[in-house]
Amino acid sequence: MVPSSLIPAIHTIAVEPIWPITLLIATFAIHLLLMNIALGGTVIVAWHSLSGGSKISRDLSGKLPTILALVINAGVPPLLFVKAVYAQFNYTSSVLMAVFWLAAIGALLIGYYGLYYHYYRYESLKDGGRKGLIFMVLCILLYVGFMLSNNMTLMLNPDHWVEYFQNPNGLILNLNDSALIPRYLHFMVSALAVGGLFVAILGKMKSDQDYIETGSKWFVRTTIVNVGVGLWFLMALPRDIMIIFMGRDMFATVLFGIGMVGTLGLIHAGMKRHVVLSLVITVIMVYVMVIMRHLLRKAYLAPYFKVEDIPVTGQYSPLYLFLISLVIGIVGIGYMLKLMFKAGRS
Amino acid sequence: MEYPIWHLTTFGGGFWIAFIATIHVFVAQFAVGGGLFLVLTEQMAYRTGSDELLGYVKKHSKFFLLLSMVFGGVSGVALWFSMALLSPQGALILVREFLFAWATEWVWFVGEIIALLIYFYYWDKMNRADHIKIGWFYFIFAWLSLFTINGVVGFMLTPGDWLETHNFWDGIFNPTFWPQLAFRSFLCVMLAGLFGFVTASWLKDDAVRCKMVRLCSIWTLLGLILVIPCGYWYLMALPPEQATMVLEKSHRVSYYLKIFQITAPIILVGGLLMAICQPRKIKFPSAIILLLVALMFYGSFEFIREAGRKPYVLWGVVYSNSVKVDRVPSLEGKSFLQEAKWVPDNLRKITDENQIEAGAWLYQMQCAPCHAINGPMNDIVPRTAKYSVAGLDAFISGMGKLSKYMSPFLGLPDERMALAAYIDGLIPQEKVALAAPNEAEATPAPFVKDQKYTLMAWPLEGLCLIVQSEGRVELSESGSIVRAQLLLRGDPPEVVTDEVKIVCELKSINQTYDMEVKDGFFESSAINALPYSDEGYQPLPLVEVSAVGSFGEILATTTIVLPVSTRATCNNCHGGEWVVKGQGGLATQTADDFLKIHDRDNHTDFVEQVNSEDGYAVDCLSCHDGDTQLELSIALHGFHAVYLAEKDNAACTMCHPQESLRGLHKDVGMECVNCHGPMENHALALLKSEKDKPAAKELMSLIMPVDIDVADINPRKPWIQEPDCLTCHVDFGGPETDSAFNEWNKDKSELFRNRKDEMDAVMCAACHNAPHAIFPAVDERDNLRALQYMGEAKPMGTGGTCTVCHEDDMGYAAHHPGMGLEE
Repeated sequence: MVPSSLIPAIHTIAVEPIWPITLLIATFAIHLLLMNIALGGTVIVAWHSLSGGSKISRDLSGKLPTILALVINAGVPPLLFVKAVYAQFNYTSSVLMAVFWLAAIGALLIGYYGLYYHYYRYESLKDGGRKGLIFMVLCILLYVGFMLSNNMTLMLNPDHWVEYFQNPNGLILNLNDSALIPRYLHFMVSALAVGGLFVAILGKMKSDQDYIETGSKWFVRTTIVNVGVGLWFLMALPRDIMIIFMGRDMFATVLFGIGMVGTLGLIHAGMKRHVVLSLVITVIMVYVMVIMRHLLRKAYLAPYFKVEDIPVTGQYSPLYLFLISLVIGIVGIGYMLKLMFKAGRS
Repeated sequence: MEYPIWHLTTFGGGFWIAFIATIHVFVAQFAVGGGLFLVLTEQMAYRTGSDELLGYVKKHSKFFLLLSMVFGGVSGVALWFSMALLSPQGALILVREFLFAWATEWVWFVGEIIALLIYFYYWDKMNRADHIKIGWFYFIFAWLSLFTINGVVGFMLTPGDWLETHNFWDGIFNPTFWPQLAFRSFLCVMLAGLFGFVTASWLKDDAVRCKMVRLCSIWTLLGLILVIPCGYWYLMALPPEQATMVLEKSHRVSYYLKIFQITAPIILVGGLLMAICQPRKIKFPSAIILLLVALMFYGSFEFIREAGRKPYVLWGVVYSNSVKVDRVPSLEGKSFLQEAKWVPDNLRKITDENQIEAGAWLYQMQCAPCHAINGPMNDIVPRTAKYSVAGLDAFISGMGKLSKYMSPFLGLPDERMALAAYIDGLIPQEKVALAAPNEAEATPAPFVKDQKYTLMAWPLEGLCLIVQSEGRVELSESGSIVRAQLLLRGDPPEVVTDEVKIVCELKSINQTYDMEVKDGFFESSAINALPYSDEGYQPLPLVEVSAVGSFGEILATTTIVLPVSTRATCNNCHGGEWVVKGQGGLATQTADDFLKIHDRDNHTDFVEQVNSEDGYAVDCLSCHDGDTQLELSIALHGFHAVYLAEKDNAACTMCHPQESLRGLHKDVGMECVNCHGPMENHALALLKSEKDKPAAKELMSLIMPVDIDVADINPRKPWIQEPDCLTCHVDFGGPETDSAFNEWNKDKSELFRNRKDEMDAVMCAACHNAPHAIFPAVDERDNLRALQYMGEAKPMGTGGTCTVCHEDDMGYAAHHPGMGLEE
């Protein structure tokens, strides 16, 4: 069995793939930032709950359900665009791990209600119950993240797909991939950093130094840890893929360089408690990382597929529909936020 | 076939999609109507200055947020996931073709979520006018979301011009876009009222609760009243093929239609009761019950709608089993196991060892998308329990033809059989194989040397096949007929019909029947012979035929068999065992299955008829007379040929018993198809004789002839026209071909059974025996008469046996050329 013979046929797409790819990168970074806040925030609440809870954990727990709502919402377009561009890979990997993949949604629903319950019953819950609940939510979020990492790596490895013939029951994970764990940890540790940054931002908004201190500590320490995890991830990549960041692909190498420098900037800004600067660099870094991730995917799939292979039908009017609706949506949302801030001020 | 299949058994059959979709769409539609309900009720609270009402709206908004945003949002993603997992090909096309519709819907979704979060969290922080604005924003975004997704959902059922143009807008604004939008919009209103009952039931203040319950009743009833005509509009907007599928072809529709018909009045009455009688008494359980009824109401509608989409997941684009429609022509006649991508290498070729495993993989690829195994969705086990393996194979081969709600099976015959064998293995009960006939010993009637008379007797039919079930159904005319000719020996012999009586006695019951004089021969009345005995199944019961002189003296006697069978193997496909255990006979269960299928496909009420107190058996021939309906033989062969294509003689023996052909032709290796043609051609010839009937036209369009053009097939009227012996035996000579198909006698007088020799004296069957059992027959019991008169099994008078009737050997073949007398 030649693994490449398993790759499904390509279907046409309406517009040049660069459009959905751009939208994929743009929206995935937003999803990632929000996810990091949700997951990192949950870890911080869980951590604080070990010592009986704190003002920060009380405050954060009220925000987490809303953030999770936005995480899920912002997760829709990148998944949509990745399915649109890499359909034959992503649909396949999803089926191979169907049970785990569908279970992630059930788990997410429980976690989501868990967060609301944690918030609404914060006072009435006993310490043990609170701890148990938040750790359950944390486990769920970690599970969902792990499944995403599995799916996104399994789709890149047709060589691993042949396991299907021994296990067609949707119970395959990409555990044989040596890059899976460091990749997953790279995402998760980033979440701790951004969760910390979120606490620091709250502190900045409230002018609460305790928040800033706590948040920045999480931010700096986990970022340092993540440098190590990132290097582990890099080393775990197949050599011919890894070297795209080592000079073979100039754009990838430059981005890698920016990433390294940016990380130093993050650590520096965090240590100096420059919350706004940390935020700015973080947002830039998330975009840099998301683009690097895209290049990594491209390199993985290079032997099998290039986006240029997708036949384009050239129907652009639906794209215009989307862009117009996006403008309408942004205007509408902007107006609602204006009303909200106005209310907040009053 | 391009994508791997998630192998599921109990929860196969699209369970996850159906489960998630039903709940998600229910909640999602509440999310739209509920938004309008919230903002309008809030406005009402401000207008009336009712703090209680405002308090209710606030509480309701929390319930709304937790249900619509959390559950609705996550279950929406779940639905998307489940579609991708269970129908990746269809989901992929939806994503690719409508990428920016999904993306646009997401924009509205973002607006919806942000509006709802602000609406909920800023109740007491925002001024009322702004808060109302946010409420309206929510509703508008939510409805736009419905508007957009409505286009994609509608496309799945009615792609309309998109099939030709592949234009995005044709797909979105498809033929059912507007009626479906109206239907769903009003459904949203109804659901808002019904969910409102739930939260209103929590209100403690009687006055406020009363007010809210009445308000919710208005929403519920208004929504329901508007939903029903929109549903009708929706059905009317369906293109004919989908409408036919919904209204006529899909079997489960009637079930869901009943639920729809029952639940709508319950909601109506419930809504009225809530409004008029019980606003003060409304309790949480009653509100929940009404909500569940609404879920059934709405769910049944969705299932009815889904039925219209069968056998596609995207109508006309992708079959339910994820095979693209445009791929099918290139797969015809090819191995599916070879062509599909996700098949283990060791299963690409079927062997005895891997047959069941290959069948299991074929099941997953072609059946599991719609059928669970011992599960809640279209469970394959009870649906196929009635079939034998061969019956299953036949049914599978006809899928997509008469069973238009099923995707056609793709693959080679051995793959189809592997699938049938696998499915058969899932069914716990095993079919009981019948024992071979156990006939008692028979000896020819004694030969009397120099006897004065020779009595020739034979059964009119080679086999009388009885297909009847007492009180249920009658497919065949009852009774077997014996014919006889009495010859006064001499030169020339003389056919005697005067001053002589011929009687026959069915030995098994010792019943004697008189025979009437016809045109130079005698014929009995219908003799109700049956093949059952204490010793076992005996399809060749003995009949003693005697010629009696005017003084009562026996002139001649002969013993023949009266072939009768009750082993029509209808239960290969229609279930049931045998009415006489271990022997034969159409079981009640089998007969009821005929009636059930007939009722379902032809809108009759036979099951009700036979089960009623004064019920009586359905006589098929009373309608299937070739006048009002297709003649029965045409209807049966035409219908079943759709399922029995490419089976050659096996198609015949699927239904007709083994004992059907026993004559010389069998001995020389010939089969039914040699004379009647393969099932497809046989059926087409019959159908062509009534080709102007719509049913004939439909069936003819579904049957592919074998090695001949339809135009070249000569029409044939059943029982009146049969294959002509002289097609092969030109001028009564040895066979020049082994196929008699397509040359039929003109009318009844030319039938073998009615034809006489060239002197118009001796009937063909008098010397050759009954059709299908001509001398020398394979079964010695058929040869009794030949053995009696000639001591060996051969046509009467051949090979120097002229003296059976003549006094001396003859030198001239007077009856017809040949007879072994000519060089």
